Order: sequence, then C-alpha cells, then structure tokens
Amino acid sequence: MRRSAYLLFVAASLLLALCPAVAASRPRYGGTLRVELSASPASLDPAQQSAFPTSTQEQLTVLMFDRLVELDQRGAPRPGLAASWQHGSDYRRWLFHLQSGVVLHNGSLLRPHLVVMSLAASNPSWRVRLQGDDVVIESTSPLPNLLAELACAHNSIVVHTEAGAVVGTGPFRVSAWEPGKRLVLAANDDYWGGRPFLDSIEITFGRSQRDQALDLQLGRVDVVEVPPDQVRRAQQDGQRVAVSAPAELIALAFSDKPSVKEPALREAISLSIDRSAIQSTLLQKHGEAAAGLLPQWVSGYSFLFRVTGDVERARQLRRDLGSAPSLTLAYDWSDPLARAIAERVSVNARDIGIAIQPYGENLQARGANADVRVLRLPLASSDTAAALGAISAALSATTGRLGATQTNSPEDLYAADRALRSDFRLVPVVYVPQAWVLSTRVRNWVTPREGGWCLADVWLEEDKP
Amino acid sequence: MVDGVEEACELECYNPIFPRDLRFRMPSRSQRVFFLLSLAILVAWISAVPAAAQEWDAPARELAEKMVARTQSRTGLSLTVKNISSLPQSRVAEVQRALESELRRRGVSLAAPEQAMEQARVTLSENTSGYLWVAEIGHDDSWDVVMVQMPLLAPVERAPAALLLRRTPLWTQPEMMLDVVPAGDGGLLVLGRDSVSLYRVQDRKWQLAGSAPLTHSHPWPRDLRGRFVLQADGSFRAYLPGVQCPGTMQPQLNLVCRESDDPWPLSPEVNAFFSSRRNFFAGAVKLASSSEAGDLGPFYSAAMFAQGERGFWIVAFTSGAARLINAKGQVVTAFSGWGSDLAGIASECGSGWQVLATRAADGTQPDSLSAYEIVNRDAVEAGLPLEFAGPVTAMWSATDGRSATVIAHNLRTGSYEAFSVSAVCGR
Repeated sequence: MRRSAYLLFVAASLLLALCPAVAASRPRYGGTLRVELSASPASLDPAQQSAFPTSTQEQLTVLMFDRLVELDQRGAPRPGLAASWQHGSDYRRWLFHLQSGVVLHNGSLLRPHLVVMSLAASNPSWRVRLQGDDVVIESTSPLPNLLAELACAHNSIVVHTEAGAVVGTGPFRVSAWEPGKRLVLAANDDYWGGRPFLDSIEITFGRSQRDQALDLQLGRVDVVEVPPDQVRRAQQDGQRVAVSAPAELIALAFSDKPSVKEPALREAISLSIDRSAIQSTLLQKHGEAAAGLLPQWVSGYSFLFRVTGDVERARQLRRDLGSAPSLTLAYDWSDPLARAIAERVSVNARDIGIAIQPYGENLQARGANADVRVLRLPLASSDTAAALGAISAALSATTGRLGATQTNSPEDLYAADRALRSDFRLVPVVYVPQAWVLSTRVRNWVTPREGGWCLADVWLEEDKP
Repeated sequence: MVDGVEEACELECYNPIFPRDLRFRMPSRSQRVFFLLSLAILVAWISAVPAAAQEWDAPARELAEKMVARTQSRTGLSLTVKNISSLPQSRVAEVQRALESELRRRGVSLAAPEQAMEQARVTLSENTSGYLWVAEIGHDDSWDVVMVQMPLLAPVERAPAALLLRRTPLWTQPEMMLDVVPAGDGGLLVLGRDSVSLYRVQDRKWQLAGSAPLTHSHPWPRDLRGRFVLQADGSFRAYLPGVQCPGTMQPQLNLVCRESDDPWPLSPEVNAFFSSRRNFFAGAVKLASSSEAGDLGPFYSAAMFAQGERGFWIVAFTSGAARLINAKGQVVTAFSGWGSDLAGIASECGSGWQVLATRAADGTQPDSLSAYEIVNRDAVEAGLPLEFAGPVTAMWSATDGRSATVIAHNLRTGSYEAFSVSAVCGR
C-alpha cells in the first residue's frame, strides 16, 4: 500500500489534463472581478465625502479601509483593528487594544497614533487619545452604542500621508484610479484578516443601467446594479439576483433657503406624497414605504408611523400659508429611480396647489442649489441605535441641530426618530433594497441585510475552456 | 392512583375521559391502551405548557408594568395582540395569555373592545436585536407607546432523518473551529483560529481545562485550514499553514508553535506539503518514511480507501476536478458534482470503505455530505445525503479511519459545529 501510494502520486500529475473540470466548494484564489456602477465618485477619501455619503462611497470605503470593530451578520460586534476593548460602567470611557503588526497599504506599520488621528478627525465630539499603545475614546455623554458606531464606514481608519495620499489597511489596495471613471483594486497580500481570494477588482463608474445590462449579457462584467423595479423581471429571466433587505432611505432633504423656511409648507408636501403608490408602482413592491427614518426590520417600531398621505390636511396647510413659492427639486441625473420619485412628488404636490419643478443634476460632483433634493441615505448599520445615530449626526452636520439621544431603550429611539423629523427638514419617502445581478462565475457572494459588499470573501469559478 | 386522577379531573377537567358508569368497571384492553395513551399525552402537555409559557413571563411582566403605568383607569381595558414578527402564529396565544394574566395580576379588568374605556393594541414586532413588543395604549387620537425588547427564540433543530450516515455532535462554539479530536481521557481538543483549547468534563459540565495560543508571524489565509494528529504517546501536533505546533495534554495543555514548511500527513504513509499562504495542498507529496516524493498539482483534499488488497485515492484538485487514482498511479476516472472536501472511512457496510464528499456549493449555502462506494470505476451514492445547516468548513478522517470529523458553519445560528460522522448499516 505504501509503495502504491507513492507511485500513484508520482504518475497522477502527468494525467491531470485529460479530465474535465467540475465545480468545487472551497474558495479558489485568483481572477479579476469586474463591476459596473452608475455612480461616478470623485474621491476615494472618506474625509472628502458629504455628510450623507452614498452607498457606493460606503462600499468602496470598506474595501480599502478597516474599522476598529466590525459587526457580524447578526449585528454582534467582533474585533477589527481592535483586538479587544473595555469600557467604564457609565460608557463614557472606552479603551481599545489594537492588533499588532497591521501593515498599511504603503508598507508601513499602522501606529496607534494614526488611529487616534483618524478617529478624532471623523468624530470631533469625542476626545480620542493614546494610552500607551491603546486608544482611548472619551465623551461627556455616555456612548453605549460605540461599538456599533465604530463599525460604520464613516469610522474607517484612514491615514493621510505627507505626500497627500490616502492609505488604509483594508483587504484591497488601490492599483489604478481615474476619478469618476475607473478604479482597480489589488488584493492586499499582507491583509491581517487573510488575503482576499480575488486577485483584483475592476470597477467602471458612470455606466448607465442599459449599458450595464448589455455588458453582463456579453460576458464583459461580473456584477451590475439592478434597480428595485427591475428585480422581479431579472429573477423571472433566470438571472442571478442578489437583493438586500430595504437598506437605503430615499428622502426629500429641504435646504435652509427662505423659500422653504415655513415648516407648514414642508409638512404639507410630506402629507401630499402617496408613498404607497410609489412603493407599489415605481418600486414594483420591492421596497418599503417610509414614514420613519429606519426600515421596519431594523427599528421594529416603524409600523407605528403613518405612511398614508393626508391630502385634506395638506390642502388645509397650503391654504393657511396663503401664497406659496414655486420650488425646485434636484435629483441625481444618473439615478432614474430618483428622477421617477421626484416627478411623482411633483405631481402629488401640484394636487395640493404647490408647484415643484424637478431637474437632474450631478449631485455627487457638487452640492445642489435647489430648494429640495432627493437624497439617498444608505443604512449605516443594522444596529438600531447606530443607524439612527448616523442619520442624526449627518443631520446635525447639515443643520446644526443636536443629534439623537445616546441610548439603547427602544422607546427613546422611537422618540428620537420622531424628533429628528419633527421640523420636516428630512422627509422619508421609501426604503429601497440594494440589488445586483451576478455572472455565473461569481461565488460566495453574500448580501448583508443592510446592503453593502463582502468582496474579500468572493471568489471566481475557473473559466471553462 | 385512580383516586388521584379523579381528584385532578374534578379540579382541572371539564369533561371526564370516561363516562361515569364505566369508571369502576374493569377496562378492556383497548380502553387500557387508550387510557395510558391519554395519560401520556396529558403528562406531556402538563410538562410542556409551563415551559413554553415561562418564556414569556418576564417580557409580559415588563410590558404589563409599562402598560399599567400609562393607563388612565384599571377598568375596561381591551387588549388586542397582533403578530408581525417571525414568532410562529401558534405561539401568539401564549403571549396573549401571559399578558392578560400579568395585567389581571395588576388589578386591570379586561373588557371587550366595544365595552372598553381604553384600548391596548399590542404588536409583536421584531428588529435586529430580537423581538420588540410594542403596546399602544389610549383612545381616539391620544396614544402612548411603550416597548419591550427581548432576544429571539432559539431555533428548533430538526430531527435527523434516518440515514446511512450517522453524525455525533462533538462540540459547538461561536468561534471558528478547524479540527476537534477526543483527548483520550474523555476530554476534547479544539483547534481554533487563534488557540488550542482543551475541555474536560467536571461536575457533569464541559469545562475549559486549558488553552494555548497559536503564535504565527504571517497573517492566516482567509480560508484557514488546520488539523490535529494524535500521536501514540498521547501527545499531538497541530498543523496550520506555515506553522506546526507540537503539544501535550498531560499534566496540562502545553503547546509550542514554530514556522514550518514540513508536510502534513494525509495518511500514516503519505504526507503532503500545504501552501503556507493559501487554502490548498501545494501538490508535492512524499512518503512518511523516506525521501521519495512526487508532484500532483495543487489539491484541496484526498481520501484514501481500499478494495481488497488494492489501495486507491480520490483527490479533489483546486481546478474543481475530483479524480480516482489507482494503485499504479493512473487516473482511472473523474467525478462531477463533488465539493472540495473528501474523506475516506472504513465501515462494516458494503465494500467496507466509503468516501465522504461535500456538495459542490459555496460558503453561502447549506452543505450536505454524501457517502460513495466505488463500483466498477463509478461512484455510487450509498444512502441519503447528510444535511448540514451551513457549509462544511473542514473534514478530516479520524486517526482510526472509521469516522471523519466534520465541522460545519451553521448559517442560522452563526456557530461552528463539530461532528463525528460514521457509516451505519442495516437500513
């Protein structure tokens, strides 16, 4: 048996090419994943993103940068760049012990002071400092949800080098970057969490949905976006569709211009919107009519908020206002769904006597000058408090208001959700899922309920001859 | 005993089981069977109901307290319960009973909705933290909202179907496991991502008897693999990519890891070199007792089995092919639809050897394990596949060759579960 075993191994290698290949279940290394997106991000630096980063920006961020803490699929915290942590009984002081030997994409070691600088820059209200090699985060108010907050993309550890470059420690490093057009990411061979299975990811930006569908059909791409209203059709056509839970809030964000300073005007527009029609017609029921800031599956209480409009009350408010200005409503010109929603909102508003003129603009390149804009707000976390906290922080950055309460009590979160919408500056319309169509060679694709990518675990089936 | 039952029925039952005129007669055989069956069901019901109801006691108490604090009056409250969560509808009545009981205990008199002074609308909802029970208390346009958060119910395990493959649970933990072996003295040795842990039974419970870290200078590969090999002297060796850790369990767990490119054992006779930065064997193989070596090309796993005097291997290559290789070193045939983890086990069934193979799926899907017999160059599936609640992440033949250690990542619970899988005959 011993001799036989040896012989068979020596001879077998000569004969391998004769046999057909079949599927395998253990991840295979190698290959380039080709992705096409409609968005055209101008920068990869999370610090240069707006208060409301897009889902594309968040997806790119987590490929290149790590966070101290990550959340698993059940929302439980697990170590990221921090190997362990402790907190005081009042949650005002947290201490994070960092993993040792983590290497930045430029080859240098990630030093603790770089972590401190990154977190301090993205969280001005925290006091972040070094204690030996550990990182301490302190706050005057309790931070019971800090772990979930630290797991959000905006708390990625980003290092700005003296040469002005932005480097991280994430599973992929930048290999080529043409702003708004193309990004090539290469596997980080020294990634502390294990080298990704893919060799590289090639992302082409600014591709229309039609072009994406065509390229997929021709086998030029592995991953393309599919809008919510097309999900059912793609499934019926037998395509591989990956869909998250409702994970992106589409809302109206009112500016601070005098034309929309009257809360009653904003409330009237909110009451005029037929969210159910938008959900059933524009989204083909792939989404959730939104009256609160979080989808029902995250909050558990959103069913309490009334999604049906109240046209009579809206008309009454309109009458009480006397004259109402003609408003402009901006939407991202590369986003057909935002356009459709803007047009529907305009029709609903006209029914109560308010004129709204929708128009497309490159919102990712520059801020809109409109009275109102259609905003896409990705879910920052599957944790209720962290998700609400992120929206609250973004709102406070844009309006100067205080954020939501730092609490875990569901009643307080419910109250905070209501309070954040009480002045109708941000008017939720619908929650939509993120959806992608995948080529047949993509394996291990996991769609988190909250959306986003897990591309470090994706691998590609070997091309068949 | 009959008296006891009668007494219990007078207190608890509305209808006696038997007509009064039959109760003192000698029952027939069928009546005795019926009676015993009924008694068994009754006992089972009595023992099951409190356990089920107890799950809701604490949250029902908490919600009732909050509701009572918001009610204007304790008379004439109507209670409706609606379920929009993943809680089975069959259990909603239990929740309603628990809530009614807690409200009554606090002096609240419940009324029908049309007679109620105030309404309590309870919605059994759910969020990412678990169940969220939401109560709206009030009337007309005046409503207060109170909530209670609680964890989800533990998933109910399905009973295993009758199969040729039998699995025996060895260990479950939330952290990744690479291999599990019996420690010889009733203990269990668990190879994790970062440490080796030794568990022993003390006071009828598994207790951690020792843990030793796995030191390594390079990051682990993403799809980390590793295995234990027990030595005859009771010591062991943990094999990991680029690292080997010889250790002992007596008098306490002791482990020293060192960088090593030495090959891993595939069988007592054959060793294979494992890639230090990947998830596969690099292809070079050598005999354990000599320097003779050969190169197969990269592969994930290899299962050895015998037919009479002849030895065979089935190798799962990284290209995706699973190939049968005979004693002369010739590729005899290839098999399709197999996954990349294989193990050979000996049994009393069929030819005496079976090859276990995972399914050709990926890490996002539940896996299954099939047993194959090799008949006339064909792989014939023996019996039904053994289903797992997630992907099989590791499978190694046990030292005695009669079973395989299988580790699966349960996609429902997130835990890693280790089983010993063997073949049983006669079904």
